[in-house]
Amino acid sequence: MSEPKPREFWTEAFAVQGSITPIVVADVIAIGILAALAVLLVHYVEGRTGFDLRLEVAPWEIAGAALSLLLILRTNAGYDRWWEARKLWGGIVNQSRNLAIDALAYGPADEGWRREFVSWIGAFPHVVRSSLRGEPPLGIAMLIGEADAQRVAAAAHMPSCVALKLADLLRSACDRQQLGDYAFLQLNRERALLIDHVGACERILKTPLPLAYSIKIRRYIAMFLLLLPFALLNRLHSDWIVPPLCMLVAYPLFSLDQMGIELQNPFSKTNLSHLPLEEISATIERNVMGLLKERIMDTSI
Amino acid sequence: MKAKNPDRHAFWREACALNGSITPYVVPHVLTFGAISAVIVALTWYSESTFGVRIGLEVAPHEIAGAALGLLLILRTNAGYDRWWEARKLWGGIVNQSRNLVISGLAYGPRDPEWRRRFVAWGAVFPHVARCSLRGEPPAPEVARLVGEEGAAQISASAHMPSHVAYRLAELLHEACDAQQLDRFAFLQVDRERALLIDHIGACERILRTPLPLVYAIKIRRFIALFLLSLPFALLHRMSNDWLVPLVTMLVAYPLMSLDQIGIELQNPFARNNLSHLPLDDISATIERNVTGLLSRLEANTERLPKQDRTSAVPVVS
Repeated sequence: MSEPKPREFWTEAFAVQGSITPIVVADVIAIGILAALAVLLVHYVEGRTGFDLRLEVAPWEIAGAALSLLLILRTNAGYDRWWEARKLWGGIVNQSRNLAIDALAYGPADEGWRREFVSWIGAFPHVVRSSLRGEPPLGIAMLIGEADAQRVAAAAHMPSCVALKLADLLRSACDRQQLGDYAFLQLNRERALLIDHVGACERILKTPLPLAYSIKIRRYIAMFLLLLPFALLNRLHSDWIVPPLCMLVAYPLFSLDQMGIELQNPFSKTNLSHLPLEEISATIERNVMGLLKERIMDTSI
Repeated sequence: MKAKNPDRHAFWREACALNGSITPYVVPHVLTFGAISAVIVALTWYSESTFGVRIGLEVAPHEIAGAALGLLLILRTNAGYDRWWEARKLWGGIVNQSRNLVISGLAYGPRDPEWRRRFVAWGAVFPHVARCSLRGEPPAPEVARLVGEEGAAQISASAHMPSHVAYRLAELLHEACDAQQLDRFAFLQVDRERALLIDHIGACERILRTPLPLVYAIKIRRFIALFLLSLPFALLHRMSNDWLVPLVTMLVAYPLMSLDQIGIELQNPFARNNLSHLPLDDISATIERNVTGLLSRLEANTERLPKQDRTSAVPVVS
């Protein structure tokens, strides 16, 4: 079990890989250009009419504190979703292992049944991953065969189809009197929990932040940054420091906003810091198939 | 059970402690920021005296940004503490589940002393194996002591060591059921405790394998760097002497860098080389002591009983 190594402060502080800076650079530059236009506008109006457009900076100080709070709460909400999604996938790992252990210990001794059941358990996380990412199922044909893989791909809800197949296998073991009723209860509970976890992942996937909330945050950011040049004009020695300063303020605000977006869908491969679902599903497959192999070796002795 | 009470009069000792503190880790970074700000002060002094341009920023943006940055860091420290506390809870769960598993196994399971001994040994070995698996180590010497060399070799050869132990426990339960010596309802109960062990170890692995999202970690550190690198410009011309600027910058850098480092240290609560890691060796030794204590107590009781009561399965001829 390897743990990711923590990275050095300076390498991480200036990392480009995995950072959202490339995504927000365009917006930050746009704010710089708009600030430069605002400076020109103020100079022009002042020259023509003598009317002073400069504003007091105090409201921005208060609004800035409120805005950063709002953004940080949103980032936190994003992180919570991300962490919950990770917990749910942890649950899928646990349930798959438990299901395999129970089936091998209490289920029929028939090797064909065992191999089939454990293969379907190993296929489950792959199917869930593909289903959450809206892809055709990948990497399952090896486990359950071409024909079944195609049947799963054609299903309305792929994870349910796999869960149904697992239930079918449990039923056939019960019918052959090779699985005790109480062991069946236990196995079926683990199987049902798999569906609960998938459903919770789908809730995270299909429910973004309330639209009213995200619209309001972005509107505040836009108003704050577009009016900021007028407040800064009073305060600096040279008016041409205003655009770079506005860009310096815009950078953290846009980054925090974007971070909320990126963490919102922790499953999609195109999002930064998405969950390593390939690795998790591969771990599950390796673990349950390993149990099967150990068991078959045990019995053959 | 002795509680760990913090010493009431230890404020100054703890405030100035070096052992277990992260100060040694952050000192180089703090000094770096001090050096950079000294360079900045020297450069501005030079350029102001040669070109006569006044360099310096408003301090207001830094006040706001500082508050925001503090919040961001605290949320991160909080997330780290949550992971640490969750890991401790999960290990508490492993303690409870192991005790429950062994209590139920001994009370409801077969009376056969050999079965009991094996069941307790495999129950006691679980925390040791879980600890070694989380730390990426081979099974500890306690494992071989409990389940024998052969059992330890099987464990270390398996794809996922804790699953193998859970599987052996399930097999023992199956054996007891087959021998008609474990009631079905009791089996349900015992098997649930056994399944919970796997849930707990899986949750520990989740904490181990999932650091903070990279976007979040990068962003926090970039903000800290930007904040501390631009701070000297805001502090210039505000103090009686500009050479106080590097000192003040270092004073600001110290808490920021420490909070950042605390988040990192709490992120992996299992590794032995992290500060404030969980005392997993103690916890697993406690579990082992508790469950083997239960068994030896029971064996002592059985020996005191008259011989015909020992195995109820054997009909007593009167």
